[in-house]
Amino acid sequence: MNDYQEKSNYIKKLYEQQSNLDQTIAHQMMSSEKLAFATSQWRMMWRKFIRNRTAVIGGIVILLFYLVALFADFIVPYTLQQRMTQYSFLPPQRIHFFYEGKFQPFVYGIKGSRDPNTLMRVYVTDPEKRIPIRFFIRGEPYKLMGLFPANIHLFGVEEGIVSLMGTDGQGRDMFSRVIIGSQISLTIGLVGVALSLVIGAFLGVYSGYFGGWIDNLIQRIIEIIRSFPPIPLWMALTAALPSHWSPLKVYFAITVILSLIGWTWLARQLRGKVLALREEDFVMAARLSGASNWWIITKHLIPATFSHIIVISTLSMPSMILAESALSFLGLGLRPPLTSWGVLLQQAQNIQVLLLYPWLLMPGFFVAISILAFNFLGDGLRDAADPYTV
Amino acid sequence: MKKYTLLLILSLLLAMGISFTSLGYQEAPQLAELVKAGKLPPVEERLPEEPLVVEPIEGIGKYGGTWNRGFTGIKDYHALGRLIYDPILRWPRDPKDPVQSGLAKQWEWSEDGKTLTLHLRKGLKWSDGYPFTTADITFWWYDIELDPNITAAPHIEWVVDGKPMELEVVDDYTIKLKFSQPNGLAETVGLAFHGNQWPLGFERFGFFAPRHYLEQYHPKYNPDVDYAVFEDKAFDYNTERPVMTAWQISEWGPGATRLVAKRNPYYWKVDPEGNQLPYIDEIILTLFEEVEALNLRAIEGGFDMQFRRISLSNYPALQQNKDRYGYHVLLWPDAVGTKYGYFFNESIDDIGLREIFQNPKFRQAMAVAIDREQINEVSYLGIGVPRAHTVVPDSPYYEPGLDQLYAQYDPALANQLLDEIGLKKGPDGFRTRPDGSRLEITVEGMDWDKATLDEMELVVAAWNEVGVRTSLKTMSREIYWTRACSNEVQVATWTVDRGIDPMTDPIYIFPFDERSWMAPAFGTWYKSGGKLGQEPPDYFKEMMDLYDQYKVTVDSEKQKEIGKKLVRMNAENVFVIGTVGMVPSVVVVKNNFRNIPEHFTTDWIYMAPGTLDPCHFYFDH
Repeated sequence: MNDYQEKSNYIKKLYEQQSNLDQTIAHQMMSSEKLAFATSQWRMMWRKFIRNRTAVIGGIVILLFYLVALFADFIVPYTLQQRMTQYSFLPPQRIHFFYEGKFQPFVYGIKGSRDPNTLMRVYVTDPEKRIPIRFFIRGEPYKLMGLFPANIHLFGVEEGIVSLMGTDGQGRDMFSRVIIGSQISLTIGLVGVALSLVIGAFLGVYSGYFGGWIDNLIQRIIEIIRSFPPIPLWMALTAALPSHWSPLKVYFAITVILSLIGWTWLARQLRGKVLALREEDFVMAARLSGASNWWIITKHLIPATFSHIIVISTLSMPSMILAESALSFLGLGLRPPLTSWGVLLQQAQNIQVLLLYPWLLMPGFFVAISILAFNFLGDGLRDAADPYTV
Repeated sequence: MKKYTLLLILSLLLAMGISFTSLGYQEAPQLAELVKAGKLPPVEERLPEEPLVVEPIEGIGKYGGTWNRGFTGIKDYHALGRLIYDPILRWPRDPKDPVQSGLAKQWEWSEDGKTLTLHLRKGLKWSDGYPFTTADITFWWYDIELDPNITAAPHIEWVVDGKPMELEVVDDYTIKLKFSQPNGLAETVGLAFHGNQWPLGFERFGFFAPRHYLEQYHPKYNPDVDYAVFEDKAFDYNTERPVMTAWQISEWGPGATRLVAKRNPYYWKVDPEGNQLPYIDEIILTLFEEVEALNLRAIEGGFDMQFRRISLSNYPALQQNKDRYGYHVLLWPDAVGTKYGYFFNESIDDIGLREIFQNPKFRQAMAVAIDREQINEVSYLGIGVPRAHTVVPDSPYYEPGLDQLYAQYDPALANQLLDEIGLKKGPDGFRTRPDGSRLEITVEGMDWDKATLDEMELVVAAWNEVGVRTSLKTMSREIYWTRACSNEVQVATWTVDRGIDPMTDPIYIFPFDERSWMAPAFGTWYKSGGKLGQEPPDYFKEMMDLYDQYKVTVDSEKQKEIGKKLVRMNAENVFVIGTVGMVPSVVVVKNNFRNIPEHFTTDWIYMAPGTLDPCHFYFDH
């Protein structure tokens, strides 16, 4: 007992000496170029990150996407239930911003009819009729974030239709559908990643920290899960969902299914990191000061791997979004009336869309943009997470 | 007097002889070569004494050519099966005509309607040259239909009053069908619809089978084989199996990407000039895993004549490309009372819902809440007919007016009717059940295509609009079908065909069996004779009694009366809510493909286009 106390006192002393030394060194170096060593790790990461232009752009795009998703119902001119069947399969409209030199956005009125030969809907614009686009216009009531009832829309028209990306067969505005669909598509990634983080971080850190048979067991489980090809596994699991579940339940079930595989990647990486970390002095110190394993894991090891966790989770977001789109596209994931990018793409999955109504493929563009943005951001974060190497 | 008659008969005989020798019979050039080489008997020996003469739609054709079509795999047997429709008796080309002769040349009922005598054409031959006789019918009856290892229970048209029919073979070409009561289903359901070679793909109905070939694979005659072998050999995809149809499958097997059917040299039909049919040498069905790919191929002019699996939504694309690829597009009305029907399950386990669904006013309200014009525009290019669910005008059971019963768009009336039956609107705009609890119904369906999904979403939106909280769920066909048949679905949906002859399989008229989703549990009750399922209320029992009468009525006029009554009761009670019916089938026809009519009502029960005699379609080179 005495021996132990002595040792720990000695270590404490060592610590103090070290930090004093650090401070003096830092003071000496303040003026020098190696200022970086004195700043905290997070600051350094930030500096390195903002030097990476693509990553910053990616980050801004993602921020924008999530902001838009959050206020989706306000931003869109029409609700999901609004069908303007007289405008079915309307191609994207051209927005005119200036009229007689003044900034006054407007669209032209349109008239629809059916081509007697091909039976296709055709539209002609009426250049006589200008429909001004009004901002903060009163429209269909909705609930902002599902909580606050409101009826003000960012923009809209009082008569006719304004449709930035055209309409689908039921005359529903594609712009509104894509924006509202982003709520599910983007959050399914968030929720899925959050879930796999919780499982992955703990199992990974435990595995690395304890080693031995626990490590063996967890690693073998990971190998088994990873040895399945993901898409067939997802397909099997989603097919097993009870068919009478409500769409919302299915949505959550699918996030869980996606994260069931997602965690293994994270756990593997963290285990490697922890295998190195647990041999470090500070872990030894904590152990010697009588800290419990739980304390060491939650207070020392997980924070120490934080940068890693953030990088991995940003990098696994795109695969989650893609997985949702892929599953829904195959008709196995979400189903209408839920609206997500995957569902929208699934409904565009026929040749008449390709041949006649190509604007219905627009959600694919948004999937691509969001995934690119996440990848750029993740890349930047990965570089930044290790600020000591150049 | 006697002299005259003799003279008349003599001259008649002479005339027949002359016409026979002068006309003779002609055959396809390849067959003529085989005859010359001694590999095939001459055409006169191959044809029966009195071949069936096919009246051409446009004119006499030319031999040769390959008919290219697409199909979606082994389950899509009808892609070929409906081209080779050759039963004992035939459905007429015009649905208003009576049943026509087929393999049987003549048939007559006994006075009491309990015995039906069939006279087969003399000299009919299987595609391997073996004679087709009544033995092929008795083989089917005793060794297939009555063998519980193959058929769980004989089809209802052959079981009258719980007793299976009895067969009496008179000779090789004459057979008597004996029933304990008059059998009103024998001619139509039994011999025209189910009168084909067993098993017709996965339908597993028929009236004959090649005894000389199958006997060696039947466990009863050959103890070395089991029933799996028999099923395999009797199956339509077996290329060795002899057939009575115009073409015989010659190329198909596991992993094959196309199915080829070649001309049957012993086919028993001719055109009016004595040319043996079919004109076309072979049919090639190309396998498409995806219906979309099949449609794309159609747009590129890959098919010579097809309407199966071609979706109406592609009509604009077909029209835009037809000149480039040398085809034209026809719109044939489809005998669907409603392209998509909505079945409120009146035997649902939830008693509260059951009471609401059983109220005719509720169903009327839901029917008039739907804007059918809008659905027609959105889903069917505006060319369907907004109507209620009932038979189409071409049907013998049609009565004017029924198709517009509760087919108007009148949300005010819908609201009024719903108020009347005690479904009060709450402050949130949604109605509650009469006891004040939450009312919420789920419409379920399978994910067919975009057009159907659009329509379902519009209907669900319309019902929410009148305050009935409704949600929609779609799923794969297998899951959905099982759920619907096991009485689990509140509001089922399906394409409601059988618009010409609903009495052949009256599942959409009243609860006939578990496929009658207006009340599957009552249907099961009827099918099992009261042993299974649940006992239906009186209004359904009345319809069931009427159909029992229909079954034992041989007089077709009297049958029509009963049928009309059933159809009227079905429409008046709105057991199935219809939206848009008679949506055309899109037919893609190559410009040189002939004997295709401009107008023809397609129907699955009538095996469309089987009644057009595809054996006389031809290529004008």
